[in-house]
Amino acid sequence: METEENTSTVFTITRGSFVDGWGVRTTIFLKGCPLRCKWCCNPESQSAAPELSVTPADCTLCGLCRDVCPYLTLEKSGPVVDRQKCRNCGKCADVCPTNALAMFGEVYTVDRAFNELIRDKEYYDRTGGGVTIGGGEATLSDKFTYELMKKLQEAGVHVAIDTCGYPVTPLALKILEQADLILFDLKGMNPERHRQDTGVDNEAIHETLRHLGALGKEIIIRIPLIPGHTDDNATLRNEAALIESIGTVKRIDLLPYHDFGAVKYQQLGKPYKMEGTQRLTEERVEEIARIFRATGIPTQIGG
Amino acid sequence: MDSKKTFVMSDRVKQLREAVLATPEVCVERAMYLTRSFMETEGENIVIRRAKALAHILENMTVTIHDGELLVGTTTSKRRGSFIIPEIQWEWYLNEMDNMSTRSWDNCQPIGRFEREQMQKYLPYWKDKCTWDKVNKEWNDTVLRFNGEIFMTHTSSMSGQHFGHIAVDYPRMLSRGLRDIISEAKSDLARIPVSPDELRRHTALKAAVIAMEAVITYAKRYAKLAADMARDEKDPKRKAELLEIARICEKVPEQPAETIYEALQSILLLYFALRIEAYAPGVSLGRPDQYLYPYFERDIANGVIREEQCVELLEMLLIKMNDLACLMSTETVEFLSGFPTLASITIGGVKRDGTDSVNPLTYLLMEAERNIRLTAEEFVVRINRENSDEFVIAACQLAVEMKGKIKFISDETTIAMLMRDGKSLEDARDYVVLGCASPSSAGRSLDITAGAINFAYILELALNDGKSRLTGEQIGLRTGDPKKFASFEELWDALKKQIEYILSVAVCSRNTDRLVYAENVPAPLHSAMLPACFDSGLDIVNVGAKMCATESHGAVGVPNVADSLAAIKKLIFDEKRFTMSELIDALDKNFEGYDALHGALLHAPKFGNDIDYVDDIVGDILEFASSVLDRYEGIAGTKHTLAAMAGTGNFVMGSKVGALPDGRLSGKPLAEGGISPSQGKNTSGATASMRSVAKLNHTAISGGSVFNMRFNPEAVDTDEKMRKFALMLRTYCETGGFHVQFNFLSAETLRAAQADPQQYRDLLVRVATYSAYFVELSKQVQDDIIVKTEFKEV
Repeated sequence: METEENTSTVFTITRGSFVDGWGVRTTIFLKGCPLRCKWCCNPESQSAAPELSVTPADCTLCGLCRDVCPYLTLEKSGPVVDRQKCRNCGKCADVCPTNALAMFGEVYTVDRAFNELIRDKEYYDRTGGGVTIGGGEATLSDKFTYELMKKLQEAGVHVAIDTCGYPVTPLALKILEQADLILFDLKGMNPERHRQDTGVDNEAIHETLRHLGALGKEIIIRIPLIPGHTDDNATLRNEAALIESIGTVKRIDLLPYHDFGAVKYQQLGKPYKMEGTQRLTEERVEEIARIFRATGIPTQIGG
Repeated sequence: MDSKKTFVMSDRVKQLREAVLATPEVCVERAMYLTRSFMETEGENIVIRRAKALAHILENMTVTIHDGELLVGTTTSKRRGSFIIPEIQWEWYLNEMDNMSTRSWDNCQPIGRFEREQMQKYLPYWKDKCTWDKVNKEWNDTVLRFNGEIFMTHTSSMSGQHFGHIAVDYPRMLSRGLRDIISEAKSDLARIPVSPDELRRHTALKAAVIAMEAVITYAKRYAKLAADMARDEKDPKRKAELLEIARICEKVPEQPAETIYEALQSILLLYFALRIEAYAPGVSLGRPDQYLYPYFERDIANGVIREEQCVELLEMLLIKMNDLACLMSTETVEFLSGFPTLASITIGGVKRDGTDSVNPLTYLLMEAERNIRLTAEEFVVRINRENSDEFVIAACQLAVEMKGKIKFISDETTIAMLMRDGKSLEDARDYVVLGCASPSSAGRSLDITAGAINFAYILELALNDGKSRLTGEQIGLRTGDPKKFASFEELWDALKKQIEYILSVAVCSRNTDRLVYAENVPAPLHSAMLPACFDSGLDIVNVGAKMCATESHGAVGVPNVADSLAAIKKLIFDEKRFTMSELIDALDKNFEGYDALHGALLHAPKFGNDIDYVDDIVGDILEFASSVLDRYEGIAGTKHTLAAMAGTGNFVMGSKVGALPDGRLSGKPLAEGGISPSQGKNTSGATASMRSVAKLNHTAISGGSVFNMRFNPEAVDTDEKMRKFALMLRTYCETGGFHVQFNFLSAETLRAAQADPQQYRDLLVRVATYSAYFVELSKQVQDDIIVKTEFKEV
């Protein structure tokens, strides 16, 4: 028997959300993702472990962090961390009086997550909402997500799984098969470009989608519209055709590129690969929406 | 009817609206005629004197009908005027006469020569006669020391206002007409009064007749003016309108109203007279969609009026409510800034029989407000399970368009609160909300806010052996050296002792004030318009238990106190990471040199995040304070209740309090609203904040509470999201919440957030799959969002 507790690293829990599925929802974001999309707006979600976030602008230069960490120096502009040596132990964040040093991610047991997520039950029930488990990739923490989902479902909570469609274990696939709603990302049709953009092949993803459709799963498709990557008409038309063929897609959400995530790359000390990317014009987004609306499936801009 | 139907403002409504957007002007007519009358009636019974004074004002004040008006009457002689209430306070008007146009809050136009002369001539008459002068002589040294230190606007005298925090029985007046009520009074007066009660009622009825006749005279002055103007009017259309105004003002409010137009004019004339008689920010129109509906329904069925015409009249009514700007002394205005007129209109909820009260007129009132959206008229939306989603969504949509002006109130919670204070189920169902957020039964109760008490200050006393940290003055009880508190319970006991002491002084202060009011400023017209007063002969200033009257003491800063206690409990007594001694030293030094402790305090659990550890402490404080107030009796059996309301007083009250263990720095503002989480501390999402507030026992704050939430308008930018928002609101109302008001952020507020991120940490950016707080975005991205918000505002 397993004695180790079933845990995952949670980087945020957003309550009272009107996005990420039907009704009013709580979205729990788990760390860890098998993909490495160039445009990822939650870079803190990629690695499965807690990571140190540095925001020099919030630093008061109190110096408490220096006393607890040998890999950290204090410059006039704030703390500077030697990322090569930092073990993301979190001691500096513990003593930091502001949010200049903070941790992205906290380890949660299933029970702790459940107890927090169940609090808004009355709101879920009244609004037709529920919990969305996202990330990162929810199915990467397969044991955690499966057990959490089951527990929530047994308590009468509607559970949506936000997925990149790349389950890496049988249990991960089982999560998708048993979820009440799937938020399924599509990130381009060209296999080669998909591999370059995300690090994985898209054939497996499409196969998962077809499999879920065949099971009759309720699906919302989410398409990030990334200039120069996923926004050419040929790709979009192919995606529309694929979506139409699935049969159980209830809605298509188009998510136009934004650079809200850029600041998080700085906080993590990672390079932002999308620098200089222009956002799509509203006209172009509308034009794209028309391509998808032609499928007859409700299509909206934003999630 | 189709709730999506919208109405375009007519040019004349636009012009009338524009005219009341003016900077307020001081009008001396009320003060002048009131004083002249009082000079002539010395020696007579005060109830009669007050009635005669009202009559003298209504017989002599300027009457004007402006171009395009269909509803007539004014509160002052100015387009947007401020009157003077010298029988409450007189001196400050003279002291501040020169700076009223230049002071930092609520400026009016420079006072004209005529006004200055009259003020100098008449106001000194009130020396030692006004309630403020009288009560100051009655109060003991302790009360005097607390005023302006721990108490703000704590009594009606201190805030310079009457007891006009009420919705009178408009339906009774509309259906009977004043003449019929006068006849009843006169037939009762024909009997010989024998018992003390009968003798008292005899005087009250005499005064009531004088006051009601005065309102009729006031209406007939308008009838005459309209008829005179009609004679000279060249435009046949306007001439016909003026003749109609003349006909209506000749008829109402003397006789029963028979059409919606007559009914609106009737209540409006009475409304102005009530304001002139005994004003406070809170003279309310009650539930007009309820009592006006029979007239509306009949008129629509008979083809007497079309919906568009009705909306135009309603728009004119709302504009008229804005003809008064409540002028307050600098001392008071810090607490209630923005010329708060708080002329509330309550819609939604259920009828007295428990069925859905929403009708087509409710929607038309909302449409009128959608166009007018001025500051004086307050819309309170009651939310009941019986109300349709369609109605709640329409109200939410209106709130978004108004950027948050609409107040939402839970019927379930409020009805329970009112029944706790002794109201019957039917009366409780027929509640309205007055002033900031005080629930009251329309026409059947008198629920006044007694003012505000600085609870953060009380905590400071418990943490400083009864002394102010800023002045060192011994204000509270000596409850021991806080550095020696060995357990959380010792601190809690010290706090309870301080609360008991401060509240006993508050009740003393308030009861003294109420005695002075009972003797000096009765309001015979108000009393005639309330069956309980009319039947008993008790004036509203002395009606007490007969009307289940309450006065609520507004607790300010309770979230700060709870956050502070939670931080102490966790860091000092649970985890033992710091000592009481370190904490007190840090507070004395305003955290300078105590970065680690300060950081830990800031990171401790905060109210508004659905954390029971701290939320329960808020509940404990409120329940304890409420139980203390329950021990006391008010004048004439009035109940003392607790409220949680700060007005704008969280700034001035914050300036009196040193550093607090919640991490707040010395002198900084306290939590706003009353029961709103401390600025920027509720970072766990909307439902978490709602649950924190809804889990409180609101019957312990039956005087009402204010919970403000911030939303980015883009959170509700589609119909689907708006529906979710409305259902979320319903859940809050159905699970124990009381009040909530949503502030939909403008670009301006977002700029403020950019400049002062710590105060706005709760602003979520709601984009699918993405999670972040606005203040954590880069400046460039923030600018982008601001530009987008601005674009949508245009």
